[in-house]
Amino acid sequence: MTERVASVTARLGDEDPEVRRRATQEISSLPAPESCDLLLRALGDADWRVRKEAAAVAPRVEPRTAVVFAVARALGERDAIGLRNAAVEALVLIGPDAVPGAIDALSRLDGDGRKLAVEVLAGAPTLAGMRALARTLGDADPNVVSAAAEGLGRAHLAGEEARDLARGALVGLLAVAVAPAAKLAALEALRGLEVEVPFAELEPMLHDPLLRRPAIAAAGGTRVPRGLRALAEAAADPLASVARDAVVSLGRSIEEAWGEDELLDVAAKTLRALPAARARLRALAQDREDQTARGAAILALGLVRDPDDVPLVADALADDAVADRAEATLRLFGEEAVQPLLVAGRSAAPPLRGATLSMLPQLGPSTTSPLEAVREALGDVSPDVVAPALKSLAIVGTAEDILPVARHVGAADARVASASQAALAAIAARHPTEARSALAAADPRGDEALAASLVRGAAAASGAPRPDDAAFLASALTHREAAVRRVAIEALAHLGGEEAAQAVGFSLADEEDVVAHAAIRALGALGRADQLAAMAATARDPVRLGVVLRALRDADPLRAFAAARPLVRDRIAAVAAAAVEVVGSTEIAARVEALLDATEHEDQEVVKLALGRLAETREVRAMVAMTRAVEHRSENVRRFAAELLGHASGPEVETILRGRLDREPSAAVRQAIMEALAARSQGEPPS
Amino acid sequence: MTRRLFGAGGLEPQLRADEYRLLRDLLSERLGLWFGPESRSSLERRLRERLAVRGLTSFADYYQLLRFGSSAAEEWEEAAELLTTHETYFFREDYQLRAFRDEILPMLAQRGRARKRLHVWSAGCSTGEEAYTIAMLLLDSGLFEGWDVRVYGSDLSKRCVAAARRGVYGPTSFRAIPDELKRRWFVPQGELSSVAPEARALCHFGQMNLLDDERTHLVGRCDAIFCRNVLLYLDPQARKRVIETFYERLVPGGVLLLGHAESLLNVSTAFELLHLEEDLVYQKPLTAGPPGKT
Repeated sequence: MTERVASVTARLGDEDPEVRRRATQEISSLPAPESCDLLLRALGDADWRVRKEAAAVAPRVEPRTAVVFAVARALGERDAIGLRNAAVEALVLIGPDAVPGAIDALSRLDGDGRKLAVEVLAGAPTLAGMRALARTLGDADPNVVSAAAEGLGRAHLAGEEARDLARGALVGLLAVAVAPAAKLAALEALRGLEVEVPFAELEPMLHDPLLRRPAIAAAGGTRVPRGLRALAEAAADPLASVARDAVVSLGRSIEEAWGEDELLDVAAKTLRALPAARARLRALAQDREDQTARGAAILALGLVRDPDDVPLVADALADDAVADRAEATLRLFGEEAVQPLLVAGRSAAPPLRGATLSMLPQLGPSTTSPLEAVREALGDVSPDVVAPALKSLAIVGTAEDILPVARHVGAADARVASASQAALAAIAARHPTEARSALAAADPRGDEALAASLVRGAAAASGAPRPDDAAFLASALTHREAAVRRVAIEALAHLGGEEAAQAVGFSLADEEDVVAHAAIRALGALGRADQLAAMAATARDPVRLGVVLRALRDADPLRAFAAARPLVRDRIAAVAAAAVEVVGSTEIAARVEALLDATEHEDQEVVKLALGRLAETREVRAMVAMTRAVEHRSENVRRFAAELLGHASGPEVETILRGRLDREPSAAVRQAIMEALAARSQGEPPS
Repeated sequence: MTRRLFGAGGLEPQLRADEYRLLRDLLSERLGLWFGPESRSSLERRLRERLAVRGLTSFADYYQLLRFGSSAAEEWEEAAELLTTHETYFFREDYQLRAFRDEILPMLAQRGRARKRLHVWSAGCSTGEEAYTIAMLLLDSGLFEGWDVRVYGSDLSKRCVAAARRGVYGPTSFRAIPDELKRRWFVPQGELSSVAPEARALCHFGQMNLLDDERTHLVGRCDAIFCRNVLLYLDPQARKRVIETFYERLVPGGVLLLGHAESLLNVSTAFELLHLEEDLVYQKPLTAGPPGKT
């Protein structure tokens, strides 16, 4: 026994659990076979912290095969509950390598031990493990059967083949099982796999008190009229938990049936006829603690279309987690929502008031009251109200709004200023003559120069330039405020022509980056490829070079490619990243080769950018690069590549992912691979 | 499966899947914040206004700005403001505060009587309500008169820290405070109320990223750390790092109080569980080894 082994052994026998916990941390650095023996001892320690630490170090103890079988033997230690649970945790953390040990344990342990082995197979999902779990559905012990069914609910994490196998086994179990616990486990597992169980098979279970709730949950997403009706009826269930699950399932079905009015009408009619269901929807629509149910209830209220519910729905606009549902619901209400929304918005806190204002133009473009409310909001003291009002005016504002909007273009609050500038440009594009007239007296170096430059730029962009525009904007380029100079440059870019290009050229030396970069972008819009190519050859600052390359891409993609291509391996990551972005956004065939080259970059972010662009090409070589990237030294890159492969097409992808899963040391990357396999098995569309 | 049936339409920039992955990783690396696939629309909503302010047309540009831009430092502050949750109020999770007042404070008073020093850190203090609540409990206990008592409040958001320093609050901050405590600890200022000077005197605030070792070391050694409803927004790696920092900053026997939905399960085995009558908190073992070896 070496001195270190002796030291750890002695400390594992110390009275103080903290000393034993620290000793456990050293086990993985000890030689075999003592390390394995000490690991088992620590896994069986009286203190949970020591056991937990032992489970955490288990994946680092070698030789792994011996460790797996030794720890798996501990699953059979009937009287040592702490040891058995810690052994399960250790084996799950070891991952796919632990699967043979757990399968072996299934064949020789008692019922309790087999249940633990099943937990390991579920926790480290592999195809072989799922096959073993499917076989275990025939186990004599009903607890083992239920545990195996639950474990099969994670089969999607082992890929498409495993998911298909699990689906078949679970549907079979649902048909033959007598024990409600087994049926329940099968239903839950099928839900985990996102397998749609035909509603006809679920319908009889709705009348079984034990199976009603899981059957309702499993029916979520159904597009069968009888199913939608049944879920709407169940929303009135006197049991709050059942009603809640019914609302969540109904929400999923509404999403699936979105746009199919006849189908949605089935649920709408049922809900309208059931006051208890509507009361439940209203209660859940206000439940900030349960966002899943809240989002579903809000959607369902949209089907009922009771104007009294608009304030409830409006309230949800301020909650990011359900705001998209609230917006969709308000659109279902249409003009009916306008008045209640105006009332709700008046008394709401600024962010919510702003959110209601943003919605108004989408609901009642033909009525005047929303526009009046939006105009009134421009006088509010809170930027949370003014900025959304300006965004709304960008959509529905008229010539009448030009000056009120223009007053905000130089606002101290950046959100208000940017929203105002966008709104003024949008209104001016619709009403160029009135906009010019409103700001006709503006001095290019005065306070109204920003608004006037915006108007001239918008008018030019919408095909209504005037001869004096270039002179006015060139003069505005000397304005004291950088914002005015930037806007004047952008306006000149819209104006086009030699005069504009010359004026913009002076701004390349502006002391403010925001202005100089705008000038570079303007040269791109003006097609000054020669000038930009020269700048690309001499630029030293990485950020400026990135702007130049992007501008050159706008002016001449071929030259941009030529300039960017040599830079994809530049040692400065910012330069390489800009080059990758430019190269990747062209349609030039040689970009694939360049992007492959970039995947060799030292900086992992450059590699990720290149991989993302390669994935878009859907070329065979891109698949090769992603396959290589799942072996990359950086955990971050491996995880990223796994996610991309989850959305890639090709039969070989699953083999690649499964192959890596068996060897991947990082738990985070293993999780990403399993999720990628799950995404593939559930047929998620390429992103 | 994440659905995006109801995402924003129109001309506003959309967060593409590849952009989301890059931004998600970047936010995780710098801020420790974790955004799962279900958070894609939320991330898109929150950051979209920054694109408008910066005049950017895509989230890819925004990623480049955060990663490499000359104004990245400034933009990170804006992003952090938008991406962190600021929801808090006085005397939040009162069962835990009772446990702190009735069981933990007497224990800390007993243990620290020789040094007469008590330092408490409210990590992720948002607008300061938690830090002031702690100060009020310390003062009310009467156990620490003549001691060096300090409450540090830190938050990622500069605006929150500025609000905490002002110490003036509106009605939503008082949703859980008994009237008598409000009368005792606050001075009315129109519709608002400001924290009483004696509680303010104990509290010190600073902007801090909990992943920034250099900054967290400025806090010094603590007897108790409150970090409630922060860990749940962090990714597993960041959670681990933050807990290691807390372990390192706590004196042996010091306590860590987490939110009711948070635990150290699968994060750290370095803390012992301390079973109190009304709560369960984490304690750095009295025999804990030197810092950095958790």
